Amino acid sequence: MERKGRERKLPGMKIVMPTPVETPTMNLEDRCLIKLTNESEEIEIAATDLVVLEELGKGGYGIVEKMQHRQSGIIMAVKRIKSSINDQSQKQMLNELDACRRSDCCPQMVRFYGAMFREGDVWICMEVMDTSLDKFYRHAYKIGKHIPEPFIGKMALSVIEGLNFMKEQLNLIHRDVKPSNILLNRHGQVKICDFGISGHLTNSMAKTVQAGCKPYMPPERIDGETKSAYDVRADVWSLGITIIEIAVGTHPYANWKTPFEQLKQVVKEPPPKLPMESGFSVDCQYFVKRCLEKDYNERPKYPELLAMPFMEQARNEKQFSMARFINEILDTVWRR
Amino acid sequence: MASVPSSSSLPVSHVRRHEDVSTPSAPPTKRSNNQSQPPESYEPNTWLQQQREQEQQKKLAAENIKKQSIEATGNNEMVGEEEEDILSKPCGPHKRRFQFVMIRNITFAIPEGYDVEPNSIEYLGGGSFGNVIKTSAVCRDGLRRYVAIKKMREPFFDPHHARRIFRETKLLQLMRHDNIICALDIYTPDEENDFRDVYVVTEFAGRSLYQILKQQRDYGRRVLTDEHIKFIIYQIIRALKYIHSANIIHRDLKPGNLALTDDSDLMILDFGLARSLEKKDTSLTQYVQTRWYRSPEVIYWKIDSYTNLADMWSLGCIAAELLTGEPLFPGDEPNAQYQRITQLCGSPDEELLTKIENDNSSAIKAVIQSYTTHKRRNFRDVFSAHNPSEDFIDLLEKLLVLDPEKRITVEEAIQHPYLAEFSLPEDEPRADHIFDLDDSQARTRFEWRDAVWKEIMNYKRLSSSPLIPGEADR
Repeated sequence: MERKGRERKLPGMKIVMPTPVETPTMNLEDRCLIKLTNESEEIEIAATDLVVLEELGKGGYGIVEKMQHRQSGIIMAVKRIKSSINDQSQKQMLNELDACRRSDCCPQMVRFYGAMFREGDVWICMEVMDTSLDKFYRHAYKIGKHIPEPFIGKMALSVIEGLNFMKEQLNLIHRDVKPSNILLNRHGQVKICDFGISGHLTNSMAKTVQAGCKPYMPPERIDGETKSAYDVRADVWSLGITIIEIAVGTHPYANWKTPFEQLKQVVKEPPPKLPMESGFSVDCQYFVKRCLEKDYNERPKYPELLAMPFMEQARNEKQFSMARFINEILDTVWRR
Repeated sequence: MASVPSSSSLPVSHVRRHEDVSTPSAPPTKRSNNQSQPPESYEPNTWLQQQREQEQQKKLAAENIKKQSIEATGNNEMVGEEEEDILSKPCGPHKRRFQFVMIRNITFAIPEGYDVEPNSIEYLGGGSFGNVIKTSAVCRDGLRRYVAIKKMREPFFDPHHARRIFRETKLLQLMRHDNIICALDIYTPDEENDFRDVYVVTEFAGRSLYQILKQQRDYGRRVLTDEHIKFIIYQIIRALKYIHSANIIHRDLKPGNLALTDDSDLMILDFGLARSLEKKDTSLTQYVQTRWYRSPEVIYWKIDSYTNLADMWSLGCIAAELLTGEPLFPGDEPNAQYQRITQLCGSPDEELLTKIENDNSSAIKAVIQSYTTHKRRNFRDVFSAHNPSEDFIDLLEKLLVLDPEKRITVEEAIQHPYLAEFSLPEDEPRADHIFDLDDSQARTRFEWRDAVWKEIMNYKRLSSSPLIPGEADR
């Protein structure tokens, strides 16, 4: 029996499409050339020669794995991001990757080695660090430790110096400052990752996908009625939220279920601040207060932040060892 | 191993013409009657029993075959003989043979029997949840069909992804409607203990409505006429009638999930976000959907308790886009989206605000009231540049209503005067019964993986499924 729907169609139901112009495909490669340091030789890495050692993290963006190159033994972190072929934002991303690769290394930025494409993903090869600030502070609280002010100061100093370098030297804005994008190693170094890479992808995905609210987003980005162009002060707000989160042990905002709840809290209520009774210094509290100015015109940019007493103290602090503190936390096993 | 003889590809139109003649779609009631016949209802069990009995016997033989093929040594005669023996018996999906093909740096496992010639395979696109290629295969009914093979992206990445895969594979088997895609094949090349890739095969249903609309915009030339638009909307509603009668909400209606043949036959493609209303799932609070087509109650104030009326809002967005050629509410973040919606459809009135307050809190109501208040605009004026008919405007008005309780239902929409020339109630089937997806439990991603594995193992192939070489009729 023929589909009855056909009997009811009218003349002219044919669809005549214009002849499509062949869209040029991206130059997709499943290998890339990487340089571990500015002085070393380039090594060609193929995706198929990378062996997974462990999973480092996962999120809405994709997954990060520690991988080893079979032939050379080199260990790196590989982040896999969904790729939209022929997406304009991907071209922008590739341009930024290339810019990062050619730049002099900034000690506060996770070193980017190269990128390739495989299984519909962009594979971004990066320097491997020992942990993220997100995992680190949660582990610290689990084992009954708090995050001391000198750690917060030195962490913030590294992040701001890295963000300032991105802006001044590479003309990039991070757009996604949060604990899981701040990495630590046992040498005591603090580095930011996702420098500009996720920015365009996030924007690209945001046009089509919304998975929950973004708890690090500043008021001017949330309030559609006063929406403004993105600039570095959005990252300053996110850093302020991050500091409170690790200082107190929990994110200052409750879990929102709707964009309206986010709007109410972030846009219409006073900004969060370090509790007065928490024992943090006046300089630290003032620093956080300035980061979380709701009016972004009043919020400081990096040079002003770097000149503040809290940063000066972080620079001059000699008694506190980041390396010792980080190793102490990482080496303590949590037992229920 | 004998290679599948390559044959010239048939044009799509010929394939569909043959299909029309030899595979008429029976009304669901008839299928139900057929399925209730004792002889047929026993057949799957019989096959399963045979499968279990033979599995152990074949396991050793299969292992020997594997070893010999790996070593590339051994008696050719014996190998051929044993292969023939295996091929002559019914095989479960996990015994199939695959060829691995690299397309756009993505490895696809393609089962024996499908066309794997490089020139015959076309990459259709990739998205958040998978990559799709087009190829062809001779099916069990003897016809060669164009098929779409979708390789799921990291299907067991986390419990949320895994459940979505389970839902989609389940629904693609349950849905039987000529405007809804169904699975012709579901397979994995993996063994159970290293199971990680899921492939779903459907008939190639044509190009997506998104592509058509995009090409219209790119070329500045109208392709879809008023009659096309009306027929498209009718078919969507016809499919939704079936879906909603099964107590399923689609939840992701958008142009990219609708496929259209050159003859304007429409199919709804993707069911990854669909869910059953049968069981309350309070664990679901946030989910991923293209925001532009999402109804306001789903985004803003009824997140835990929306209904299938959400799909009707999505249909309204699609209908308007078909008319104008441009997305109706392309917000780039939730608050901009809200403002676009209220500028056209008006801000919530006192009655809706009271419902919102009761569902949420007075704080949410205050947030809504803090926005600029808009009056609902006259749709006829807004869309006048595109010369819509009175009936189209009337239907659109009833679809794009903020309060879902006042929005037109699918049963009402299918009787709307706008669709009168296509209306034929006796050929607008409802589902036989409510579909229970059995997906409300809190499961780990490994438990979902096991559930998906079972779906693949238990998949019942159709007469229009690609033929597995040596497959016995059953």
